[in-house]
Amino acid sequence: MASDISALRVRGLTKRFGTRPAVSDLDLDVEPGTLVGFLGPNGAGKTTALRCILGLTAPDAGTIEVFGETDPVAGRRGVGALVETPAFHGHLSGRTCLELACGWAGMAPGDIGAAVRDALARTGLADRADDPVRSWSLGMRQRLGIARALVTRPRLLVLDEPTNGLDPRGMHDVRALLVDLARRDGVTILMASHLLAEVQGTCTHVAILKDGRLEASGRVDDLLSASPPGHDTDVVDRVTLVARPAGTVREVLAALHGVTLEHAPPDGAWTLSLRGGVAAPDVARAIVAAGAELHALVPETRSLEALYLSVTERGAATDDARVNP
Amino acid sequence: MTTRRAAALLRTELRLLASRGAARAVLLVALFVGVGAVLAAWRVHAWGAAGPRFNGQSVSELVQLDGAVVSGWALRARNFFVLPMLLVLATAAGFAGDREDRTLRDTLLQPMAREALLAARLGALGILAALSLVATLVPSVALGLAAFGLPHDPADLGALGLGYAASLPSDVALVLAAATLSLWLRGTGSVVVALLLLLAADAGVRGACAVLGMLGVHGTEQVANLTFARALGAWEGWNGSWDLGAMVALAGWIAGLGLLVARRFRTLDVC
Repeated sequence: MASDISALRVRGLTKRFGTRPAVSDLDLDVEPGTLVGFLGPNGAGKTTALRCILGLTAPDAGTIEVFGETDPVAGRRGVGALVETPAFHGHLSGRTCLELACGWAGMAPGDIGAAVRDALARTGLADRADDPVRSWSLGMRQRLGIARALVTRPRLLVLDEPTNGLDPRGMHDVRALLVDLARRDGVTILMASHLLAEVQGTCTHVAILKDGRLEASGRVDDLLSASPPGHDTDVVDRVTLVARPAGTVREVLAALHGVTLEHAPPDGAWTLSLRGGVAAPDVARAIVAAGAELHALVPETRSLEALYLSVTERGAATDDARVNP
Repeated sequence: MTTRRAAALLRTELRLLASRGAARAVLLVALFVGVGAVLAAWRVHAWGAAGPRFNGQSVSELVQLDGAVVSGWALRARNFFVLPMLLVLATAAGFAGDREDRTLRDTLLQPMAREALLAARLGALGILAALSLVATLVPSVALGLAAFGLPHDPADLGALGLGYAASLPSDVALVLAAATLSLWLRGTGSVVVALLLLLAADAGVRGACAVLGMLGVHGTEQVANLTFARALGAWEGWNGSWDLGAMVALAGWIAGLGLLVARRFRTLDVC
């Protein structure tokens, strides 16, 4: 990582509403320059945790450090945020809303104009910037919320459902913007979302919450390559095989130790599990050597959705999936 | 927090306040009252001996008009119900209204101490109240002096100035009361209704004190002097004798409400 100081370090964060714990003893590290997907079912405590991190709600216990700063006001100086559906004074123009945000953030008056123009341009809102926000569509307001989070040029962006209400084009643009911010500008991003494909395609890391507790966290690649919880940990790979003739292929596979035929549909797209040192190239060589036609041999890619479902459905049985950064 | 940072926050809050309809209405009504008092005085003057009579004497002759008297009328009209209610509306819009439409939540996402935002928002409302006093004072005095001349005793102008100045703490107390209610209630309408109910209860306390006083209970007058509406009327002393009890009560209300609103705002869960 680029620095020893975490962009965000949360320790023992706990928040109860009455007797019901919304967040329980949450530890979370977000390293500088990463793009972290913050996942969990409805009611898992994501939004409550984000509100505590952003100072909107006082936690019952725990500490929050932003770039090593424990003072909440000083820590938030480098933070831009979007929480749920962004709200604006509808009678004001988008430009004025951003200028007010700069004023509250304490930006020097001489810097505000350029910062607002840049944020409007990055979110594609420059053409409508002087219209009252009340006349804007939901998607445009969502983009204005992202512009407001960006306008103070933060080092850490905390976003709750940033593509909520956007059309497919808008979602694509926002994803591209976030990736660009992380890669080009080094902005660290913590993003809560229910759109797992979006998170898998955008984020470098994920943290999965369930019932207010962190159930899994780490690099997306590491988590996906880890053995799925509850599955045979001896299985090192799963592949989809398309080869003909079926009889020859079946004989070849039966002769290979460590290969189990899991699924054999009539169209010949078989699913194999490999263990005991057998790898996909071994299977390919054996099939070709037997004179069969090898049409495809595709390693199975585990999706974030599968990981998410296994983590959130199995709860305590997810220790195998926990890979810390 | 530095002075520069505080000034930037206050500028931002003033800009937001200036965009609110209730705040613009405060200034427009204040101006209208200032000019309107002069027009009303001019109408009374124009009646002459043929105008309405009171105790056999024409009203025009009964009322000795000069710049200070006319501006005094304007001050009474300014402090009577409509403009204070508009100030309450402007305050409620900034707190209860912004809580209801969640703009307060998004404002608090910016890196600033809650106390600083509260001070800036209340400061902007205080400036609005002061500007509204100026908007009434300047046209009423200028046009009043031009139309009716100087008062016989120039000290009347000084007393009038004190009356205007003393109205500001009353406005501040009203703003703090509305802000306090706004931090427990959502929506500007509910704040106005709750404040009217509290003022009615306040009047009930004064009424009960009066009844108990007539029944010979001691100390009821002192209790009545502590009520909110009585304290808000401390400015009325400019035209005769100042009521020290009402002024002390007003200071107490300002301090108490200020502490209450600061404590509540600091710990408010903004969702």
